[in-house]
Amino acid sequence: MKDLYEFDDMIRELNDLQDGKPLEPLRKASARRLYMAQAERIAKKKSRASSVARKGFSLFTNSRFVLRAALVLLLVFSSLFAGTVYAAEASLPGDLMYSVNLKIEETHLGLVTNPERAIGLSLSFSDERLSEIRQLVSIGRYEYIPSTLDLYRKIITGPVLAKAKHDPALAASSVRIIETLTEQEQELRSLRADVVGGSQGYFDQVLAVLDVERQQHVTALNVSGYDEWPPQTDEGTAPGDSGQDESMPAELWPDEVLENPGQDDFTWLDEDDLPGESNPGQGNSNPPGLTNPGHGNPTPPGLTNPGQGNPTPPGQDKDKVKDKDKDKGK
Amino acid sequence: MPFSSTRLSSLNQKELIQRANTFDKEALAAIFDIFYEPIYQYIYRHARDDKAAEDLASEVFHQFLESLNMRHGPKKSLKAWLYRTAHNLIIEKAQPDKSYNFGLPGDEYEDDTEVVSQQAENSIRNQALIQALRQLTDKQQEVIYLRFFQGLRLEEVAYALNMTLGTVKSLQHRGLQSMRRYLQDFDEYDGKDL
Repeated sequence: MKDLYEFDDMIRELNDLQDGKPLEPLRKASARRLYMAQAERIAKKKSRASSVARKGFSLFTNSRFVLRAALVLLLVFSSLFAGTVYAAEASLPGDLMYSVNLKIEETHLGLVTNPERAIGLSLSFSDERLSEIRQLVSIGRYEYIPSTLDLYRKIITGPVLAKAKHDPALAASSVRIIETLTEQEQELRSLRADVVGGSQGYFDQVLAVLDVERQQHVTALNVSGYDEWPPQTDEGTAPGDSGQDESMPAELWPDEVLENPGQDDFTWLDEDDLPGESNPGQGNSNPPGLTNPGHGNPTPPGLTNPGQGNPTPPGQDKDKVKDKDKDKGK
Repeated sequence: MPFSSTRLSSLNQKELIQRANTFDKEALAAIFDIFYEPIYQYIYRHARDDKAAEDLASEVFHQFLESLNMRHGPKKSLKAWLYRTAHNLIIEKAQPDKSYNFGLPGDEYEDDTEVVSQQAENSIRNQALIQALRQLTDKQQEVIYLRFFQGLRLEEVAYALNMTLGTVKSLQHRGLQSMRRYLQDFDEYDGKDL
C-alpha cells in the first residue's frame, strides 16, 4: 500500500468501521453442520474409491500378497482341474464332459513319445471305449453307441497302432495288439448280442474292421520274422476264432485291403450324422450305403448277411465266402 | 476490522488448500469457520437479505467442496477463489430481476431508526465515511469494500471480480480520491450537511 500513504488515515477509519449485520450463531452452526456432512460424504466416497485403487495397486506391489494370491489361485485351479478330470473320466458318451475326456486322452497320448507306451495307451483307450459301450447298453442309451463305436474304430485303425505294422522293432507290441483285438472282438460280439434295435449293424462294421486290422498285424508280424504268429492251424485262423465267429484268413482278404493297410475301404457314417454328436437321439438312422435301409438292422456296406454273426470283410464277394466255407467244411 | 483476526498468511492458505484437497476434516472446518461469515457479509452487501445471503454463502461452500472433489478447487489463494465464486453467484442470481445492488456498511440498519440514531450519535465521523462510500460508483465501492473491509489483496480482488490488476488499482485509487474529496468537504462544513 505504498501508493496509498496519502489515504492512510482514511483507510484506518474504514478498517475500524463495523461491517454488516452479524450472522446469527445458530444459523451459522446449521450451515456448518450441512457443510461438514457434505464434506464427510464426499470424503467417504473418495476413500472407498481410493481404497479400491490402493488394493488394486497393492496387488501388484505387495509381493507377499501376490505370492499368497498365486498359491490360492493355483490351489483353486488345480482342484478345479482335478475335479474336471475326474468328472470327465467318469463321463459317458452324450455327457457334457465326455468331449473333455476325449481331449484329455488325446493330450495324454500326444505327450507320450515312446511308441510302445503309446500303443499300450491306445489299447487302453480302446478298452475304455468298449467299457463305455457296455455302460451305454446297460443304461439303454443306444443312440450313442454308433458314435462310440466309431471312436473305437478310429483308435484301432489309428496311426499309433499302425506303427507296429511297419516297424519290426515293435513286433512285441504287435503281439499285444493282436491279443487285445482278439479279446475285444469277443467283447464286441457279446455286446452286439445285448443291444436291441438297429445298432447291431454298427457292431458288424466295427467287427469287420477289427478283423482286417488284426490280420494286418499278423501279416506284419510274420513278415518281420518274429516268432510265428499266430500258431498256424489247419484253417489258418487266429486264436479266439470259433466256429461261431469265424474270421477271414489273411490270404482271403482282397488284395487292395492288404496292400493299403490301415485304410478304411468302406464308407463309415459321417461323424455329423452320428448320434451323440450333432444329432442325438437319431440312433436308428442307417449308415450310408445300406442295402436295406430302415429295417432296424442296418447292414454294413458289403455285407450280404447282416446280423448273422459272420461278418464278411469289406469288399468280400459273397460267392468267395461261400467257397471258403465249403473249403473249411472239407 | 473483524476480518483481521481471520487473515491467513499465504503459507497458511497453501497448507489449508493442501489439507482440504485430502478432505482433511479439521482443515475443512477451519476454512468454514474463517471464511463463512466474511463471504456471508459480502453477499449480504448485494442481496440485502439475510436469508438469501445465507443461502448463497452456503452455496459457495457447497461449490467449494464439489470443486475439491472434482480436483478443480483453489490452487493459490483460497480466499480469492471463495470471493470469486460468491461474486459469480451474486451476478447469476441478480441477473433475472436486477434487484441486487451493492450495499454499504450501515445500510443494514436503514430501517432500524433506533440503531441508526445511536450510531449517528456515537460516530458522526463513521456516518461521513459511509456517505463518502455511497457517492462512489458500484465498482469503486466493491473494490474499496473488498480491499479495506474484507482485507483482500489487490491480486485477490482482481481475481475475485474478474478484473485486471490495473483496473482494480485504478478503481481503488479513484475511489479513495473521491472519498477524500468528500471527507475534506465534510470537514470543511464540519458535518453540518449530515
